[in-house]
This record gives sequence, C-alpha cells and structure tokens, in this order.
Amino acid sequence: MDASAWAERIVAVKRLGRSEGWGQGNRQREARFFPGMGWKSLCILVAFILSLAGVSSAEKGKPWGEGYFPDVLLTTHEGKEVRFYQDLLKDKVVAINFMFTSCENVCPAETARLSQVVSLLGDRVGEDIHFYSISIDPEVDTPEALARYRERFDVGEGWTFLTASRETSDLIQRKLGLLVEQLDDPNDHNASLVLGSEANSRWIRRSPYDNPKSLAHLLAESLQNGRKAPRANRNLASYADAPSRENWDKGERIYRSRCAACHTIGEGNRVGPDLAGVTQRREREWLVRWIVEPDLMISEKDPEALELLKAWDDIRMPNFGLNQAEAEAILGFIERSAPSPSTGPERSLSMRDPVGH
Amino acid sequence: MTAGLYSALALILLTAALPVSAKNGVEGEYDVPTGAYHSPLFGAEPFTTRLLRMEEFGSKDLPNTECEDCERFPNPVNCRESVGGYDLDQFLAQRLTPMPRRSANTEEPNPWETLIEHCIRPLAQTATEGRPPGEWYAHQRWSEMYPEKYFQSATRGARRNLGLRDSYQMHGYKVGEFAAGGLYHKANESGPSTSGIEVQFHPNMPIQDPNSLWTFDGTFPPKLLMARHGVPILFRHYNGLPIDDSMNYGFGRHTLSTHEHNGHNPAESDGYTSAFFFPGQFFDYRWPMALAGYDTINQDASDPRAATPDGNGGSIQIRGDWRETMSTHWFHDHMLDYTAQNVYKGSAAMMNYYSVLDRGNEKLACHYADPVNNVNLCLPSGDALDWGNRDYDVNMEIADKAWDSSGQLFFNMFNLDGFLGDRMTVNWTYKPYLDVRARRYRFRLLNASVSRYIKIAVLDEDGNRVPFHMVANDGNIMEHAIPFVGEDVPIQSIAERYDIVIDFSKFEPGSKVYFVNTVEHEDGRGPLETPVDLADILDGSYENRAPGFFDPAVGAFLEMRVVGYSGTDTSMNPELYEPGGLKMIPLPEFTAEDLAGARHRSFRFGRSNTSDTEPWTVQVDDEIEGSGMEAGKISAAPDLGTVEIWHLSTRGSWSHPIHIHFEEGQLLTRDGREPPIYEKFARKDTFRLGREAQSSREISVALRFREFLGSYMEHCHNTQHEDYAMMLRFDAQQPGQVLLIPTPVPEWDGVFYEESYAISSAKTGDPNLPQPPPGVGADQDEDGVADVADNCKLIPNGPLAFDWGGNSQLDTDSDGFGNLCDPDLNNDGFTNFVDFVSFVIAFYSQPGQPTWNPNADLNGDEIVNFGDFFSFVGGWMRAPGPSGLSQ
Repeated sequence: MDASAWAERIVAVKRLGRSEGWGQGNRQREARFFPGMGWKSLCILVAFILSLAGVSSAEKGKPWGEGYFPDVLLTTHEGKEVRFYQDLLKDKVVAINFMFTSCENVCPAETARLSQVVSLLGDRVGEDIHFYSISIDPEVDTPEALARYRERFDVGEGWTFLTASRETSDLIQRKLGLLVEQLDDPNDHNASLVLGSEANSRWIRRSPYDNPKSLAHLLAESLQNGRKAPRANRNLASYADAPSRENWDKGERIYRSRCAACHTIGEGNRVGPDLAGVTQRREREWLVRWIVEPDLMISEKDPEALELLKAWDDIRMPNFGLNQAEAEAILGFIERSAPSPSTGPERSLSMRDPVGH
Repeated sequence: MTAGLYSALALILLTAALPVSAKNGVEGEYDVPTGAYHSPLFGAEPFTTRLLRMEEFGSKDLPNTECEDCERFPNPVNCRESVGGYDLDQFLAQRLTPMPRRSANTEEPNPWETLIEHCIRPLAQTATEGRPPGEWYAHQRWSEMYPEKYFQSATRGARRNLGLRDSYQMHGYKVGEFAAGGLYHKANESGPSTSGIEVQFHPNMPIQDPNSLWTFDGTFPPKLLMARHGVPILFRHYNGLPIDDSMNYGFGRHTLSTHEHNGHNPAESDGYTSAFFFPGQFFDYRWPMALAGYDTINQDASDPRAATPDGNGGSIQIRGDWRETMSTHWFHDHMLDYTAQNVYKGSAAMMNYYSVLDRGNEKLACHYADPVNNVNLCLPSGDALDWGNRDYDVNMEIADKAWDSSGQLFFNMFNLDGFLGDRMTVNWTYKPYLDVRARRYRFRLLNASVSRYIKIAVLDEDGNRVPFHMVANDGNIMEHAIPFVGEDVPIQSIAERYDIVIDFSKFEPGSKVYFVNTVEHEDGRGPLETPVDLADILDGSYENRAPGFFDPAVGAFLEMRVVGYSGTDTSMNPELYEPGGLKMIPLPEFTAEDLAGARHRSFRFGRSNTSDTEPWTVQVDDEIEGSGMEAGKISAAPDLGTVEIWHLSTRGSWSHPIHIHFEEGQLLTRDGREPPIYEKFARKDTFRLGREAQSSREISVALRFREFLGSYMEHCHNTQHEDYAMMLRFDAQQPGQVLLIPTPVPEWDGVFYEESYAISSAKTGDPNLPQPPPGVGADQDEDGVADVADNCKLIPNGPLAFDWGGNSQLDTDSDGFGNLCDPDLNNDGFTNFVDFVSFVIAFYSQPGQPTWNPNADLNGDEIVNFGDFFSFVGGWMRAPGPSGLSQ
C-alpha cells in the first residue's frame, strides 16, 4: 500500500463526503434503465406523476402515510372501486395479506386461519379493524371469483377481498416489503400478514399461522393503543388461578396449527367437516393418505376425495407436507379428543418456588 | 420543483422498471441499503467532532425506609409529550420512591392514570409497576440477593442534558484523565459537565426531535452502568414516553421491556418480550450480579479469586465460580414485535461488570507481577480510583444509522430482510475522533446495529495494520489474549462484544490510527461472504465502482489522535497472556461426564419446510415445521443443574447471529470442526450462523443451567429477523417441575396472564439425537412428579396421569410407596398370598363398611374393585414400588 495514497484518501473522503459518490452511482443506474422501459411502465409513470402531484411532501414526522403508500385503484369483491391509501388504509387498523383463489395449498389454510382471527374479533371487524386479502392473480380473480371464494369461507362483513392489475398488486407488495422478486410459482408468494395502524405509524409483520388469539389481541388492543375496553372477563387476580397445561403432543400441535383452522372435533362443521368419529367413518389407510397427499388423490380422481370436494364447495384439503407418522399422530389426537363427559384430570397447583426464599 | 419532479420521476422509474434488486423505498431513492435517500451530512466532515465518552448512570445505596415526602413520577403536560425534562431531573435526583417489593407493586395506581383515562379510556384499574403481578414474576431469592444499590432512569424523548448526572460520575471530573488538564475533562464544550449537550449526531447536524429518538433520561451522551459482581443492583426503569403512540416519528413503540444482555439474571428481570410496561409505569429489574455456580461452587466464598472490590483497595469474597466472572455487557429494549425499532431509536446502554479480576485498576497488586498471589489482571484503565477507572478503557457502541432529509433519525420497518443505515456512528456520533495517549488502551467494542455486521481493520495513516490483542469475547475475558498481527478484528455480528487492547506507545504524538469497516452489505439478510479488499478501500476504487453500488458504511469510521503520555503504563502487557503464557480467566470446564450426560436439542433457523415458507422461523427438535415467536409456547425446558448441548443451524443463504439468554455457552464445534482460537477460549452468548467468513452453518454449544428459573428467550439478534418471529421461549425449570409459567399479556389496565404450553420435546430434547439416561430431574413415568419425589417412579400417579379419584401420590399406609404400586398390604416388603387374602376380604368395600381397607384401594377411587385388582396383579410376587422416597 502506497503510504501517501492512503493519507490522501482520508483527506479525499473528508473533502467529498461519501454521499456524493453514492448518489452518482445510483443516477448512473437510473439512466441505464430508462431506455428499457415498456409502455406499461410509462403508463404507470404518468399515473404516478398525477398521483404524486397532490402530495408535495410527506407530513413531518409521519413517513408512513400519504407520501409512502400509493393511492392506487383496486376493485373489491363487490365490484366497487377503492383507493389503497385513502379508502383502505387512512386512519384505520388493518390486516393485509396476498392470495389467489386458485391457490391450492397455502391460501385456503391462510384464509381459514384468518377467519379464526376474524371470528375472535367479532363485530369489531369492519368497525375499527379491517381485513384485506389482495389477489395476485388478476386474470383469474375477477370480483365475482373473489365473491364466490369469500362465500365458501363464510367470511363476514369487514373482510374485503380485492383485485387489481398485476403492477398495482406488485407495487403494494413491494411497499409492504412482501414482494418476492422473480416469482416462478405463485404458491411461493410471500404469505406474510402485515398488521398496521396508519394513524400511529405502527407496522409489523406476522404470519397467518401465528396463534389466532395473539393476532386478535394485536389488532384489537395493541395496535389501537388500548382505546377499546378489553373484554369484561379479564381479571387482574387471575394469575393465581392460572392453570398449568399439559404438554401438547405432536398430534395435538399439528392439529392445532394446521387442522383447527377448518375443522372441529365435535363442535360442528366449519370450512371443512367435523372430525368427531372420522376414524370410525373412514378407512384408516385412506385417512392417512388423505392427510399426507390430498392433492394427489384429487388428481387421481379418488372417488371419496372427489365426493368430499363436491360436498365442500370445491375447497381443497391442503397438502401440508406431512408424513405418515404425523398423520397417524393427528388421527390419534382426534380419537383421544372425541367429546366425552369426562373433563380430564384435575391439576394440582402450587406456586412457583424457586431455589428458595 | 425540478428536484421534486426529478425524485418523483426516479420513484416511478424505479418502482416500475427496476428489476430484481429494487427494494421498497421512500421518497424516491432505491437500491441502497436504507431503502431511502442517503442521509444528508449538513456539511459535517468525518473526524471533526469528538467521540462522546459514555455518561455513568451512577448507583446509590438502596434506602431502608420509605421516603415520606418524596414526589411520585411527574405527569407530562399532555398525552402527546414525554415526561418533562426538568421535572424528570428533579424527580430522579430525589430518593427512590416507593420502595421496591418482591412482587410487583400493583397497589398504587399508575401516576399518569388521570391523563391516560382522559386520552385513552376509563380504566378498571391501573398499577404503578408494570411488572407482571403476583408470584410468577416476583423477584426470585429476593431477601437472599436483596439489592444493595439502585439506579433509576426514565426512557423519554430526546432533550438537552441538564447535567443531572455530573455528580454521579465515579471520576467526578477530578481524577486521572477526567481531571482538569486531562484528555476527557471537558465533557461538554466548556468544562466538566454534560450540561448543554444536545441529542445530535454531529454539531453540524440538526438536534433530534423528542419523537425521533428515545433513550435513557432522553439525553446524550449515551449511558453506561458501572456495577460490581456480588453487589445486587436494582434498576428502576420508568417509562416516560408519550401516551399517544403516534408520537413516534414513524417508528418505535412506547412500551418497553429491558434485557440485560448476557446477565446471569432471574427471568423476571431478564426482559421477557411480553413482560413490557406502559407510559407512566416503572419496572423494577433486580440484577443479582452473582457469579454463576453460586449454588454449587465455592459456596463458602473461600476463593480469593471470586471477589469484588470493596472500594478501599481491598476485596470482598463472594460465592460462585470465579471463572464465570463477566465484564462487558449492554442492556436494551426487548419489546415484542418492536425490538429493532426501539433499540435503534435509542433504548440501549452499556454496562461494565467489575470484579477483583477485572477491577478497572491497572496498578493495584497486578497479577502479572505475582501470578501466585495477585488476581487483578490490570487491564488498561487507570489507577486513581479503587475500581472503575475509565481513563484508558473506552466503551464504544458502534452502529449504523440513517436520517431523513431534515436530519431526523429514520427507520424503514418495511425492509423485512433487515434494516441497514448508511452512516456509521460510534457512541451515536457520526464518524468521531478520539484523543488517545501514547500507551495501552482497552476498547470495549459493541456492534449495536439492527442488521449490519462489521469487521474492523485497525490502520495507521500509512494504511498498515496496527497489531492488537483481543482479550474478551462477548464481554467475557478469555483464557488467553489472542494476538492479531497483520490481521483484522474478527467479523462482529449484531450484539457481539469484543474487548481489544491496542498499544499506542510506538506512535509519535500527532499521528493517527483509524478503525476501518471492511464488511459490505447489499441488504439486511447478511453481509457479503468475503470482506472488501482493504486495498480497494484505501485507494478509493471501492466507492468508485461503476456503475453503481457500494455500501457507504464501508471505510474509516473512527480516528484516534495520539497525544503524548508522560505517565508510566502499568497495565498488563497482553503478550504475557498469549496462548502458552499466563492465563487470564480459564474456561470453566465441561467434563467428559458432563458432555456425555448432556441433553441435546436442535434449533434450525430459517425457512420452514412446509406451507409456511417464511424465512423467519425456528424449527425445534423434531417439529415438523418452523414457527414464529409465540409468547406462550415453550420450546425447551432445561432443568437447573444440568448440562445441555444445543445444535444451532441454518440452511438458507441468510445470516443469523443467535443470542441465547441467561447462560453463556462454549462453542464445541463449527461445522463439525474446532472453533477458531478466539472462540475456543471464550464464553459466548451470541453465535454467528451463516455463510460469511469466520462463521459456519452449524454449531454446537454447551450450556449449564443454574440458579434461576423462568421464561427466557433464544433468538436471532438481527433484530428485524427477531421481530419478524425468529425467536423462541425456553423456560429454565426445577427438576420435576410440572407447572408451566403463564404468559403475561400487558395492557393499560394491568398485566393479565394466559396459559402457556410446551412442545412435546421441551423436557426431553430432540428424539433424533442421543439423550442421557434418566437422572436427577427425570420423570420416567411422565406423571409430573420427578423420580426423586415420586412414590411410584414407574407407574403414573402424579398430576399428569389419569386420575381415578383425585388422589395422586396417595399413600394411605405412609410407607413411602404410593398405593398404586403398593399391593403389599401387610408391609412385609413383598406382595404374596397373604396380601391377596387381605385384598379379597376388602373386595367391593367402600369407606364406612366394616371390610373397608384404604390400603387396598390402590387407585384411590374409594372403592376396592377390579380397577384395584389389575393394579394388584401388576405388583404380584414383587416388592412394592419402585419409589423415589423409599428403597
């Protein structure tokens, strides 16, 4: 290393400031890409200049508002045109995910999981909490298709399904940090759930597979800064009664994270059939396979599988990548959980007594 | 207008047309790490302002009685502002009030109650302390480790320092380099006070808005806690942030949870992510400062190496393993979903542990002078004070930051890969300089970034590497000082601490030495695999790459200006402690027996392999899928007193620095090989997983669980990854413990609890790995009563077993064998025909009937019937039991 060069370098750094070199680098890149723009991009460009014209600068101290979220047009499942920022986000607490109706695995499970959250939130959905599922497949997912899909999941008011041009849905995904570049298989789209409060600049990422109770709490309590009174049955003294809980075995764990979104055991049909007694109704071998590779059974036109598909509005049982042992574990749990008058063993409760005080 | 149009154009252009690498962004600048405009410098040039020396919190003796006339935590003027700065200083200057309690103080209301009710809603009740109430989060071993010292602060928005803590500085601006004429006497521009110091990254740059930056007291310099091993200390942390959560300048949440990083602390004071507290409340963190091994090693405090300075040149011997002595820590926010935002926003401070080994005194009975009798390692520090001299011992919190066009701190939470700043700061100052004497210095280097890795080259003005020694890794002094000659500091991921010693004595006054970062990021997923070639940085070709991209955080970020030294440097010469030479602190050993008997667990960080394809999950043991953080899910439950080996791995291309709370670990292997020497001699709490240089995809770590219980965490310390769920809960448990500590859910009205649950391998470890035979703490019949306490070790008769009549552990003849495994009705030690006759006599009897024999009611259902008969047959022609109580 040439001694004087390094010393000069230090001086040069001081003189120039690093920002200049950096900025130049980016401008070069912009210039490079300009000629390659297609007409579609140009249209968006024009649309953007128009939309930005009214937004000279973001409100001071509020970078995640009007100046950040694009006010692009989307169409609801009811065929209504809405603007992303003004109509969907502004001053609202929202949960947003991306899906498409022909999606066989991820989306139905996600939708079913979210519907658990929605039912926990009750009538607050649509009032001060808004759910948006935005399609990434505009060609197929017309408003009518979305409405049909929505109906199948028995979704109540306050949960809007939306469709928009691919550019628009890409833009929204990018802004929310969810765009997967070079998406080869739409099933690999980012399944994350973005929760936020526009007014409070509070945005977090969660997974639709998170515990529905904790998602509901985030939306109803935390993101609202606790403005609504919590449910009345909350009791500060309840810690003393906190029971310990049996370890969930593998079957229960898989059941709760994967099956419970659509099924119950003895509490009636939901998105899918009630599973109480299912091991008596159907052949074990068939059940195991149905859990492990339902997609294959459907494509092989297994008569029982097709019959189920027909009976349940074409909602496919998702392939969760489970193996036979795991399927057996789930069936074991279903059998053990069959409704019975016994409430299970009583647990003794003593306070935590650490090493000694 | 033209500029505005241009940026609008750039935005459209880039969002619409830029391929692959385009990121979400702000205001028109893309394809750079921040996802925003580069942060303007306002004419600030590198190395034109001083490094801020950290300001000590200062600790005081805990009072014995309640203060009768002390004020309560003052109210802010309205819901949109932090607690007032002047009011806060008045309040903090008075005595601690109210006195701390073992379990949370929920009797007094939140002092801001009226204001909260005015702005939020009427509240059913409030509590002054935000610690979860009752026994679950009560201080463990409270009277035994009762705090001797305390300090208090409130987190609030940025404001001018009014000099509150001037008199709390141990050096008092009166001794050593802090005395008049010393290098660090002038804390502010004019003299020995921090009064007047503004919260800004450089004098040329704008002062930070209270909503942009939240920190302890709300003031700069950044804070440092000086604490001694063996002296339990209480941190009363007030939340002085605005009630209105939108007053955050676009990021950060106004609820807090404080984690003392690497402390051997009980769980209630470890900053569990869902044990957070609200504006107006305080949370009492009690850090015992105990040496690990307190319960099992050196219990009579007879080892002079396990000791703490007494303040007068002597020492006070304490319990525990002296080899567990710790040194450089930090504490920071751990708020669920918002850790990255809150830590980045300023909720972080450093903490130095002092002991007789690492005393912060370089002259007093140095070990190198008499290795047999002396214990003080005499690391560079100073000698004016008995302990805690900082003249030649400098804490450095290194972090990348970004700010917006108005100069206010900026964070982009939509950079889900990880957030990168484009400006390097040390102790929150943009590229500062530091005057150093021509002698040895200790630098405590902390990487406090959100997602950025660093690798420091120490260079002289000619671009030559300056030799140095690494003496501590993750804040723990190693067995040996590792020399680095012609080499750079090892790569340093987020939260890792490296203490290095540099000798400036060969430099002429006026010469300069630089810290140069050589690690490059293109995004927050992890650093590029190989560091930038130093030659490219030095000759400028790195940042002149065309077209395009370079990482502006690469390059020199700190200048040290050598000043003459007329004193005598008595600090240890690290060369004496190199491998083969003297030992500093030997590693606490894991014996072959420990390791052979260890429970094994596996944690896979990265994408789940089933339908949830998120990159931020952890898959534990034989779980079929990875999952995100769930506060109520216990993924591991190690028993106190046991050794475990944790196998951490990642498959993807992202980098994950994994932090394990509570107990530090020793790296056994990296990708199956011996770890490098600076990790082999180390006790670590943060472990790099990734494909970057000096890291690996798989590691095995040995851990020993001791002393305290409760809910801890293990997570990726790229805090964006952590917040997006790469975190799990583990509970340290008593052997045989069946209760699961419930999960706190804090709200304005108080903290509620929800049930917790454990995964199936939480107690037993990964079933696909070899596991130890049942030992202490084992519960072979899995009935919820550990073998040692179980009166039927192999027949389930505990709370987890099916219960015939509510009589678990029933033992009506009180012989130490539970009824269920004790058909030996005549107590002759064997079950035979004699017992059978007694059983038949009692058959079908119920209490009150003449033939009733409670000993024959084996299952405790208050009738002797066939249920009992089957149990009777099970014990036929055998001794009763086996029981853990009676042999």
